[in-house]
Amino acid sequence: MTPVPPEGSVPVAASPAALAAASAHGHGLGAEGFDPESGHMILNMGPSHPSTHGVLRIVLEMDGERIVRATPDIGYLHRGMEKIAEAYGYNKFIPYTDRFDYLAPVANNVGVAMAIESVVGIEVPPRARSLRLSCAELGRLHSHLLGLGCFAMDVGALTVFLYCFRERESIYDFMEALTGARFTVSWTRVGGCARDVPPGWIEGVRRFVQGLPGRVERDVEKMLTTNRIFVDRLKGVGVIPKDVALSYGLTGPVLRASGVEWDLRKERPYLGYEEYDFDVPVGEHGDAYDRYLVRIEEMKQSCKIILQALDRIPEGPITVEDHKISLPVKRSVLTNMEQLIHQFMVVTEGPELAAGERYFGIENPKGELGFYVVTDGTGKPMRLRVRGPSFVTLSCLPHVLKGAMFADVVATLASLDFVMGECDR
Amino acid sequence: MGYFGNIWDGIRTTAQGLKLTTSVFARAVTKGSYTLQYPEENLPIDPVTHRGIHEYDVDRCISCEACAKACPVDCIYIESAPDAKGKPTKGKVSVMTRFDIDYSKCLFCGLCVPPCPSECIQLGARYSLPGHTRDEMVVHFHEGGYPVAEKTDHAKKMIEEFRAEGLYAKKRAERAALGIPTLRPADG
Ligand code: SF4
Ligand code: SF4
Repeated sequence: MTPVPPEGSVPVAASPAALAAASAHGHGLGAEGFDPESGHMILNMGPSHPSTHGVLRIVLEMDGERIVRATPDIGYLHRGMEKIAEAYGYNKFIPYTDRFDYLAPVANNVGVAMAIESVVGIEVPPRARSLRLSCAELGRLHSHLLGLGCFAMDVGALTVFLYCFRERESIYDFMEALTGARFTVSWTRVGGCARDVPPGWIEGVRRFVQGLPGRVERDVEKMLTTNRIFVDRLKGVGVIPKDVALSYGLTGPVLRASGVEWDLRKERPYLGYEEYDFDVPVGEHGDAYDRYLVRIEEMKQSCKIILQALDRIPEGPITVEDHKISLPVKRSVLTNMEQLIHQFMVVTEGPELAAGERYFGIENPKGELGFYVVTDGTGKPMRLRVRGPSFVTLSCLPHVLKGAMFADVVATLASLDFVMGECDR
Repeated sequence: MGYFGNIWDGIRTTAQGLKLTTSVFARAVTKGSYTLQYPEENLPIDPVTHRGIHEYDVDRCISCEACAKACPVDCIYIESAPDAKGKPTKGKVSVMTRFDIDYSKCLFCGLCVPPCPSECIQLGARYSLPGHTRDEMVVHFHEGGYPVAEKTDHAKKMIEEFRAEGLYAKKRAERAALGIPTLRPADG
């Protein structure tokens, strides 16, 4: 029997092969359409769909309620970040990194500063290191809280979202006290940090972090972990088996939920993570429910790390003393000609970094955020390549969504917890 | 789990969730809600650390353009009046004829603040700049009417010196001669 096209749909004269070719180019599949030959319907999800967390477009080829083929179409938020880095130089690039994974801006700041420093082997002072570590973990809490909140909201539980936002609000407040901005913090600089912690900040964070696991248990876990609707909705949905996760190069909570114990904080420790006591939660089945559990546990582990880090923040400077790299203290600039010249050079030419190249990745909330930096002795990188975890995570969508029900797209997307700012860059 | 077990489970978990919702609702009713009625009510802002609209001092500015060079989005536009040889004046004698910041571009990143040798540009506590056109997003700081940057000790010291030397009055007269209105706050 020839399937009858739904009313109002535009017939697509293309054969499946032509469709595949069009999908490969990411366009050609404009509106909803109907392929009379196979009886498949082409459905356009996004780019402005609430569950695509930004501007992701997925072209779905549907056989009834089942997905035959899913083609993600990305690039709506492309801003040419890598080229901006080449044009503007190291320090001026840092505010732009706020806009990668804008759910954990401070973690991106830390990542890019460390990547640039690693090329020439700059060691930041111990105080800056501990502060960076604490802030990177706060960033993880920040991102996971939103990830969980949106996850719950997308599968129909709005309340959790509001509780998560209440907690996030506290982190915003800490960021505001530390950096002066709540959201786009731009906190690190090459060779250190922009501002030192204000009085009372450490105690405030400690109090918040001590109470957070309890509040997460009460407000998030109690609502979701054993909730029949939530569990039934997510168990066995969006399954990414171990080998698939590895072959797509997934990282972060998504990879760990598939049962691979891989965390850069353990595998290639930076910022002194090897000195901290924490566990890496690993899932079993690689389904959406496991990803939820992994994120919950990661938040608790982050709290544990922050508590340890706050106890051992040493006294001292927060930037390196080499004033060819970081800005000298203002007092000395105003009295010392040499320092004034250094200041002028750092501002106009950028920090003086010897030629070299290096890849450096940190464990961002969403996975491995890596930077491949090629320096050439001037104040600007010759090349700065960004490896965004969300980009890699989304690359497995065609595999994960194949054969799934349409309604599971939303649950799967939410559980992958991607952010388009970083995917499109 | 049997049929009735399922039903019981459903009721139990729903009740659990509703208990939390009601408890928070009760807290909000008795102790006040978490939200504010913006713009009638505002959250307190730390005037020292907040990264809002700039504070600037047109008379202390030496037109060195360090801030403009540090800016990642190139949104500071600086011009100073030419001297006798026709070159723009720089240093303590400079007379600013233009110091515009385009707030449709500014990121409030604060990179322009540390380079300034006379500490005459800072980020302030104001954050509201409503307007209907893009031109209204450009603030002409050389015309004054905005808080003077004076957060740091050095800035305060410089202001004292400038007052003592009568430089404020002198520069104001020079700008007035060029036809630039000066809407400075009292005395400064
Ligand atoms: S705050 Fe940043 S973007 Fe705004 S003027 Fe200063 S340097 Fe430029
Ligand atoms: S850095 Fe300071 S003195 Fe130099 S132009 Fe900018 S505001 Fe003026």
